[in-house]
Amino acid sequence: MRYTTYATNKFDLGVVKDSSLDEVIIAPKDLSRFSRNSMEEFYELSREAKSLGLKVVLEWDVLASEDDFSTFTKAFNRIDKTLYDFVRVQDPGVLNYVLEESTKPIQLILEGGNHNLVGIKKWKEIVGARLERIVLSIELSKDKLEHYCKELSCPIEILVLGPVLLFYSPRKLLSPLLKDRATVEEEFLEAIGESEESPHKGFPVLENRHGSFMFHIKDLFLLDKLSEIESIGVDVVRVDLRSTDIKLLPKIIESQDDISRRDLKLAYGKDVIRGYYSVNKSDVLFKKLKNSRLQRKDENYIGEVLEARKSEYMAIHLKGLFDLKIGDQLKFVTPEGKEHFCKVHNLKDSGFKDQEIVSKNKLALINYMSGVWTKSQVYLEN
Amino acid sequence: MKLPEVLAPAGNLEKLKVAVSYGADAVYLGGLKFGLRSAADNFTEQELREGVEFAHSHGSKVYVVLNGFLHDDDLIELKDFILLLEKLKIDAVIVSDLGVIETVKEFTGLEVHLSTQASCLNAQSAKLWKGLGVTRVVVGREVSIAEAKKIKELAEVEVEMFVHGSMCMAYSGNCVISNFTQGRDSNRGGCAHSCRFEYSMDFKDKDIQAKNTYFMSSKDLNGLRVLEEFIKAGIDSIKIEGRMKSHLYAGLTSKVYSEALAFYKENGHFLSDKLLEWEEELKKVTHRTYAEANLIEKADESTIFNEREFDASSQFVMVGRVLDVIEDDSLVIEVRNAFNEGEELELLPFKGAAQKLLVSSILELDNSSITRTKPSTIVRIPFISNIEPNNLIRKRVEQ
Repeated sequence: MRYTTYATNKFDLGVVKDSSLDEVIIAPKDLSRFSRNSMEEFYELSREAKSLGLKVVLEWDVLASEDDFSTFTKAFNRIDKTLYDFVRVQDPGVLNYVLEESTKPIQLILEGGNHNLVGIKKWKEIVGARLERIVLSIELSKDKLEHYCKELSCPIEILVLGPVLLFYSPRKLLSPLLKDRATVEEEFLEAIGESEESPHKGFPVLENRHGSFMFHIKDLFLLDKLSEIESIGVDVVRVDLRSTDIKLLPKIIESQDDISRRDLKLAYGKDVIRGYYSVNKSDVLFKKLKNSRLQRKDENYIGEVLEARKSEYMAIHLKGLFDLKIGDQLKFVTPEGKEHFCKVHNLKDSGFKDQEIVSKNKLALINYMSGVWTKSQVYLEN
Repeated sequence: MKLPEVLAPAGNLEKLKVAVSYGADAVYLGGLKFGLRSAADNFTEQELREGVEFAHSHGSKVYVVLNGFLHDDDLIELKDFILLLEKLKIDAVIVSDLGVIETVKEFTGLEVHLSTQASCLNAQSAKLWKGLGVTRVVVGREVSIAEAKKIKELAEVEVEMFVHGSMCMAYSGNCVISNFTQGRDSNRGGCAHSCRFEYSMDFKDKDIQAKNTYFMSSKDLNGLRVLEEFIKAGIDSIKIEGRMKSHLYAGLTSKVYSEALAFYKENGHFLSDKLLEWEEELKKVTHRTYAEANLIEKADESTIFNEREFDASSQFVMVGRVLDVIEDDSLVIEVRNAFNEGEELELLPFKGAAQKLLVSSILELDNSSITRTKPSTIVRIPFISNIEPNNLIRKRVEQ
């Protein structure tokens, strides 16, 4: 298992080299969400990395609408192709462009969604022989990662240490907050956000030329799981120390076991989480988002109680496939989930006229049943 | 001249009927799974069948959203559902995940539209998706009408754009706040709308604090004023956001946009007082402050809705829906908000201007007379001609 990381200056590159990594991710801020390096700095860093024997990964991960896209392609095309070995992309448009206009091997970022093997296999097929690596989502659990590593037969990378990006908007959301405060124009704005409506306090927010980004209050830390991650077949692990200290890198590399790596939490200096590494149950709460008892079941469905007039009548909108007639046996399921049963003795139409039968899609009034409320679902029990 | 299709949200079967009746050329809806609105009513199999029959019989199309970023287990269940959709002859599925596209293509011949959730922002992206079998791209909300035109021409694919409704502040599909703070996958239907929360922002390096800010909340989109730009750009479909929204919203937005396009078809322009009337109508549904977002120029700070969410207001509320018309006798009304005898209401016909409706008397279903209605009851009011079931009734509310 190999490591990869980011370098933003020459000191970083020295640390990367001294830590025996064989590649480094570098990007000009023109193409990268978080880079602060100008194109000239990128050239300088790439040359330095090359001279140190490091392979250079050019990251092009910004999203761009049509008119901005050409700005990015111009920036990309200006870069001397000998200065980098791989190009790392996320946007399908960028991927398509790089497939057509470049011959470099591709590291494909599939960190946004892409939580099924069918789709990931297809992405692999699209990139074809140019695929150097797939970067998978941190929302995949270890079981899924293991399965995918076996099935994909290509190098897989995951983030094991670093900030968790929660939100990416092209709009500038911080600078308006400073507008009336005589602040100089700045290329990078940073703030910490918290809301009374969330139990989580201290979201780092960044604004730069590409928009605004919010991060989790805690960083991802899977260093104490590296043995397991290696055993399940992950080829490359990424550590992102841009917001902390690159000097932690050699300590990570030198740590030989998960116990010693666990102790690095303290040295990392930020609160950490494991995210969805153990299990992803991010859909289990969905059933609580609505009252399933209000959801009709199709079989024998008659309709919905729109009004229950105590001791007098119940008005049922016959939304189902059936007409309602005298003598029908009905089951009512209330919003609270209670079931009530009754037989239709009295039946009237919406004009309050007695009827033997009321057709579907119409309103029917029947004898009152205690305990049945508005929105109760009605089923035929005949 | 080809006009864009008006595509309206159908949160449930009743709303589908309302949207179609008020002029939507197509509706989009969700089944019980696989979409992005877990809290919506959504459609059972029978409701789907009935919805498709109703829409098709009125000349409207039905698109079914399968636009969650689905996991492997979801795909196993998906197969039966898409086979059902094909059997029901729905017109297209709206998809954002490549695994879903592959599954749909493997098992069915369903037409595939790419959801805005996939954040297709440029022609290169659209070309790639087209190559994967997508016939229409719902471009990201960050794309301007002019850019959408270029995407359509360069990628030779149908293009759909949002014209009205709530806006994600993030690139769609690129927000996982709910996933990591509430344990609810926002890209499978569990969005907790954290972007609408009130925040305090601390610029630590500047010793500046911004309290009580809704810095991540977007104003709502309203593209009525630039409808002609959509037409000139050849946009194939204009989409109204809001499967969770009310009957009144589904009906009124469908009515306004379809009537506006019909006016253009007849006259070739929008130079009419009608435009002001339509604008006024759109103010009559619950909304945040309107903006044109990215439709013409890139959205700037003026598009941030820096207000408390429940301050979003409307001038009107829906008081009821016509359930039945008893010819020459009465209208049967399902009451949603109370109204009084003698009160002036407005009835929205499927076509044409709203009609004043003075409630001269109110009868309960058993013919007893009342002076004030209650929500969740059914009443009868005197008959008026040219009224049909599913017509909506509203009233002005005091601000």
